[in-house]
Order: sequence, then C-alpha cells, then structure tokens
Amino acid sequence: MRRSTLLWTVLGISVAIGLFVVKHAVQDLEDRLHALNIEIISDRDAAQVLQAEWSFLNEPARLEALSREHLGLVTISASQTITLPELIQLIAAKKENARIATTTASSKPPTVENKVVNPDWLERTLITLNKDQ
Amino acid sequence: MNEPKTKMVEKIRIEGDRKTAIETGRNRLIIAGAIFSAAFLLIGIRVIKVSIFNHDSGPRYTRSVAKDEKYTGRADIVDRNGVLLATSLNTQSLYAHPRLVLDPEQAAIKLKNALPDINVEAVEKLLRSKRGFVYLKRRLTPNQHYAVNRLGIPALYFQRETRRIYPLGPLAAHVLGHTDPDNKGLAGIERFFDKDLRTRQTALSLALDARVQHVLEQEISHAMKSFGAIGGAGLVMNVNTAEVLGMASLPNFDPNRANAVPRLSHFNKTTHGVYEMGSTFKIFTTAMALELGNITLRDGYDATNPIRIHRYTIRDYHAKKRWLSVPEIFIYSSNIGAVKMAQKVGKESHKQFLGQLGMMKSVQIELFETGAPIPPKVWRDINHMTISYGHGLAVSPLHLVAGVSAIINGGIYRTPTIMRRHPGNPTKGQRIVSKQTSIKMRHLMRLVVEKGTGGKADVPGYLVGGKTGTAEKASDRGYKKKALISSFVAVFPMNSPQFVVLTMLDEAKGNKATSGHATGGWVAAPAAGAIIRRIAPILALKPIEDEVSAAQKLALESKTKSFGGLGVAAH
Repeated sequence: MRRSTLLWTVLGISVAIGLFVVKHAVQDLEDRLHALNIEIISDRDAAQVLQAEWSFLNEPARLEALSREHLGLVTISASQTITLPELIQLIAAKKENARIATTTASSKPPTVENKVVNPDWLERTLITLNKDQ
Repeated sequence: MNEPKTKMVEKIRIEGDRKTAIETGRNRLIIAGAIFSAAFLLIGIRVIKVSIFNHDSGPRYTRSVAKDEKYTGRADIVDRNGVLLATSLNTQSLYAHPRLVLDPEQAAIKLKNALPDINVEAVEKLLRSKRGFVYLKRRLTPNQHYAVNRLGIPALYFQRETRRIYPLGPLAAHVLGHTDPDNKGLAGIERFFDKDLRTRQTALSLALDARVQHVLEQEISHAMKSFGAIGGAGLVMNVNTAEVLGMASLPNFDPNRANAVPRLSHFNKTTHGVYEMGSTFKIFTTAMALELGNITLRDGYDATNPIRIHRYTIRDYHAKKRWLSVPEIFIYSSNIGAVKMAQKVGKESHKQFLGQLGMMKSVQIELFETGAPIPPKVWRDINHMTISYGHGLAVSPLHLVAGVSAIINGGIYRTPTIMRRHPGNPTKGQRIVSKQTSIKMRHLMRLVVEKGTGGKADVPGYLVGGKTGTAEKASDRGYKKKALISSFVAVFPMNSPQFVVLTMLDEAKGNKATSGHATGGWVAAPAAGAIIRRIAPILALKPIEDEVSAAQKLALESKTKSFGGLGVAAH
C-alpha cells in the first residue's frame, strides 16, 4: 500500500515535471521559429529591394552614359567580329608569314594584315582559353 | 491515530480564563488555515487551468515560411534575360483608430514633425472623426516609418502594403502598363495578366530584351527630334518565333508616375493605333502577285502613264515613265505597277490574301490595347487598287510586322507574342506563301536597300533588306498633304532572316540634311539602320564577311524555279 502510493506519487510528479519541461521547450522553439520567420521575411524584403536597386542601377541609358564617360566603348562593327577557328587560322598565317619574312626579305606583305590583331595577345588568350576547356 | 491524543488531552482539564484563551487561539488558527487553503486551492486551480487548458488566444501555431513561398502581393515581371522590369516592394501604411486617440491636436502636431508633407488641420480632423479606421498616409518611406514609430503616439498603427515599382522607369512602359494604388493592373501586361500576376509564385518572363528595347526607344526618339515628328513607333520581332523583342511607342511615360502625364502618351501606337501604312504594303502585293498571279521576276508592266479611275489619278512618286520589271516596280516603289500586279490577281483573292495575313482583324497579342483594322466598307475597284500600295486599309504597325515576317520567314504566319517562348516551340503557324516566293521577296527587299529607296538603312555585314513606306495622313476631308506617316520595315540578315525592325514617324518634317524630304527612305530608314547596327551584336548575330557574294547567292536562289539541290538560306 505505502510502496504503491509512493510509486504513483513519484510517477505523477515526474510526469508533471516532464510535461512542464517539454511544454516550455516547445514554447521556446516556437518563439525561435517565429523570430526566424520574421527574420526570413525581412531578409526577403531586403533582397527584393536590392534586386530592384540592381535593376535600377543597370538601366541601359545609365550604363550607356557611364560607359561613354569612363570606358569609351563603342558599338562593335562587323569587321571587329571573328570566330575562334578563324582566329586560330589567323595566328597560324601570321606565324607562317613571319617565318617567310625572316627567310626571304622580298616576300609579299601578308594577306591577313587588314585584320588588326596583336599576335602576342592572341597567343596568351588562346592559351588561357585552351586551359579552360 | 488521533484517539490516544484526544484521550490524553481529555485527561488534562483546563478551566476558566485559560481555556477561553486556548479556544480563541484554536478558532483563529482554523479560520486562517481555511483562508490559506482556499487561496492555495484557487492558485492551484488557476495554475492547472493556465498550463493545461490555456485556450485564451486559440491554439498557438507557428509554421515555417516555405522556401518558395510568395512574399509580395504581385509577381515580378522580367525580360527574356531575367532583367527585372516590374516588382513589388513592401512598405508600411500609417492608419489610426480615431476613437482611441487621446489628444488629437497634440498627435497631429507631433506627426507633422515626422511627416512634413501632411496637413495638420486635415489630420486633426481625421483623428477627431467618429470612424473606427482612417488611413493617415499610405506607403511611408523606411525613414518616415522610423520617425513615426519614434513618436510613440497611441492608437496609430502600421499596415504592410506592397507598392508596384518599375525600376527601369519609362522603358517598355506601353508593354508593361501600370497599376492603380491598390495594385490592380490598369494597362498593358499588368492588365492582361492581372489575375495571373496576383496568384503566381514565379516571375513572368516576357519576350522583350531590355537592351533592344532601349536602343529602339533611343533611336526613334532621336529621329523624332531630328525631324520634328509628333510621334514615333518601333518594333523588333523575331521572324521565326514571332516573339516581340522590342515595342516602342513615343512619346512614352513613366509607369511609376503614370498619372503625371497626359493620357495621350499612354496610347500604344504599335498595337492600338491604326494607320494607312503606304508602300510597305507593296511587300504583300508583290508576294501575292508572285504567289497567285502567275508572274515571275522577269515580267513587268508599263508604268508610263498615271492610272485614271473615276475622279482619282494614281501616279508614281519616283516616276520613271517607262516599262518596269517586277523588281523595278518594287525597288522604285511604283504605285502604278503595284496596282497592275494586284489587278492581275483579282479583287476577291486580294481581299482573301490580306485576310490570311491577319489584316482584317485585331492581332491576338497579350494586350488589351489592340486596334481593329479599318478596311473599306465595300471593296470597290478603287479600294482594291489603292490598298495595293497601302492606302484605304488602316492597320496597326504590329499587323504590318507580323505580315512581313510571314512573307519573309519562309511563308508561315505566326501571331506575334510578348511572352517568352521556348526556342523550337513557336506559336502555331499557318502557311501563306510558298518558300520560293519567300526567297524571291528576300531578294527584292535586299535590292531596295542595295539600289532603291532604302539605302540609308544599310549596315555592312548584316545584309539588310527592307521597304520604305510614306502615307499621307487621312483626315475628315481626304488626305493631308503635309502630314505624313513615314515608315521603314527592315529584315536582317536577308540570306537567313532572323529579325524584323519597323520604324515609324508621325508627321516628320524634312530638314536640310534630307533636302526637305520627309519620306520613309529619308527619315525612317536611317533610324532602322542605326537600330540594326546596335542590336545585331547584342542579338549575337555573326556578320557576313562577303556580303556581295551572299547577295549574289540570294539573287541566284530567287531565280531558280525548284530547290532540288540548293540549300535554302545557307549561312
């Protein structure tokens, strides 16, 4: 009789304490979740504002004015465009011409001269391009 | 248990004053004990109630914000490359419960410090009203929000409200449209997709390219200034997918402050306005004659004398007064030749052909602002004749661009769209002319730029082709001589058409540089050329190295009857 009373009392008290602890743990977690949600929403708002600002700063008319002022960029003309295979051919031709020029002094001027290219730069560019592949 | 004690107690007898004193003490103890027990019991019950049956404010339930959950009122609109064109930002609106305001006068004065642009008397009046809810100021800036919050006036509250923002300002204003203060779409895409934008979770992708749109607006605006035009319109469309990459109508407006400008500038000239487009219609007449009229590029007509019908005379602007071949009719834009070609096909077929090209009904684009064409009420012979060179049938610039695309892209008409399409999944098409007719027209349009009226639109490397158009504006009584609609429709590159560009100026005036001319070839063609020069690299088109041989190849293809071995539009 006494033992079972003691057992039930201890059991009852421990369940009550357990319930209390769990309840408070849940409450704490919910508070944290709530705080995190608020943070997420305010971060999203901030991200949204930043995106709008990014778009605003990238307004084509503004970029155009900036590039004119600081970079001096102009529209690409057709003669300034070349594909990579054409570029490789061009370099080969340049080298060949240079070789011929050193061996025979009276050789014709290279036919590719009309395309203004800097072979050293091309060399370096191609090496980096090949590395990337 | 108590029995022995009581017995013991009973054994001791206390009498007299002492007894009463003990009795009193005991009674007091009992009363105090009862009060304390009751208090503890009450507290105990309350503790149980609070901790177990606490349903005062409903069950507490906090859920997590889903990863892709929408957080603003209205979905974003982006261009084909993801550039943000329209977005919604969260702002705070200030409202009050007037009945709970303690001192309206003081509150209004305090608010004036935080929000300098408010009217103190008006705010005080609002705060004194008997209403339960009043807006004091909507959409505060973050700094204003902070300032009002710092005042700590009771009964003032904030409400989250979204504000529609167009970060690129007036760019593509007519396509995007605008919204009212409650974020309801009032025009353009905002209106057409109003319901969708309210509910969708992801951004809406348009076919527009912000860069192309910018170039288009800038060049047309430049041309308008140079030639003193009162309005302008421009379109860039992919001929194969019918996606509209640029759509400009000038003067334009800033959708962030849509009400700050006259309503007139809200009018979308490219889709809503209908105009008699003039000689650009000869593209359709010539294609029709090649397709249905059983004529070839070697045929021709006598254009020596003007045509007289009833009291009208049809004459040529660039009159050659001789026999003209079909390419010459097209290059020199001969009205007489166009009329004769149309007559060869016949009135009914002419009408039907234009109907197939969508010239008889509104374009089914994703905008409500579309204008219905104005055809003649009855197709008399005179209408049949004038429509062959673009007078007597008013259509929108979008109609023209869609029709030209169909003639040039291999003969398939597709309804233009502002929405981005998957490459390889264009809108459903309908064949209008054969591939061979289409190639012949490519050749003819290239000739216009090479040798004819469209020379100012040429851009080296992109094999531009096109057709000029100049029309007198219709008024209540006949036509106004000095008020012209000058246009140019260009396609490039002509050996494998990709894009069509239309430039149109309303009431352009000639200047010294054009020797006083205000026709399409003088005022609209240079703008088209400038646009192509700038957008072709943006659209990643590879320039043609040897334009002369590409044009020769095109000419050869156009003269070949069957296409057994020839690769069409080899590039």
